[in-house]
Amino acid sequence: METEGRRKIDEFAEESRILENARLTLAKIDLTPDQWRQHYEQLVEAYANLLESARVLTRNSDRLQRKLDEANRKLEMQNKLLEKEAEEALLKSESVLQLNKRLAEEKMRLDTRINRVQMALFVLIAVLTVVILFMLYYLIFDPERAMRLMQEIRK
Amino acid sequence: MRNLVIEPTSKTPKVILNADLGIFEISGRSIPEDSIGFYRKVLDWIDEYSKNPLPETVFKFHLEYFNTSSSKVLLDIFRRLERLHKAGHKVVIRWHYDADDEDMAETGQDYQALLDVPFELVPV
Repeated sequence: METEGRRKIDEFAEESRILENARLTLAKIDLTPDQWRQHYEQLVEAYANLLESARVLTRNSDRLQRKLDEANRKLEMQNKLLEKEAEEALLKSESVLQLNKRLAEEKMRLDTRINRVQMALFVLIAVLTVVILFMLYYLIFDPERAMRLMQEIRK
Repeated sequence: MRNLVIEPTSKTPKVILNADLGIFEISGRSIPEDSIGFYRKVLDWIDEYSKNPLPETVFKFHLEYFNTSSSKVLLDIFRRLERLHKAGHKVVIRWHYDADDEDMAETGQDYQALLDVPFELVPV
């Protein structure tokens, strides 16, 4: 508080000095009417300056307040916009996560089916290979029996 | 006399007071917590300069934002320049402001109406 008070006095040092001079003049008892008039004129001039300064400073202050209010209003709007965008982004990310989860599940199902098909194909190829090998064996080493087997298969 | 150069910060303006080159400029943002503390050197420099000024003093102000206590100190600077002008020296105050900043233009107009010194408004 003391610092604040001293600061205020410093900013109005010239005005404070004029006031102090006026008080000292007021305390004097031996001034002539002309001297009183001279002091009074100086005081009126200083007061006029102070009044005009006060008007300008008040208007400046009002403009600054308006600027601050406007800046605050913009900030609030931008905050709301950001919050809304953050919510939307969160919703989007949640839906993307759900989609990813569904896709992962679908991939797992497909992998399982592919594995089954692969296994079936492998077994089929193995059986066919065995049959073909048997057929080749009989054709090469026992053609008569092979012919008989063929005729039985045809029947 | 010694020149006075103060680099700008986020709260205080750039100050260049160079009597050798005839550059007198205050620009930027002025929201110091202790305005009189910051501007004391500027006021003292102008007081010293006023004892032996250049034939012409063109003082440029280009402020984007300032607080109320700064506006009081600015007025004190203007008053000093006004006194210099009334003492018979050629003094011009150029108040630069961003063309779309109506508030700063109005502030300049207020100062202009208050002071008895050539005061030019310069939109940039």
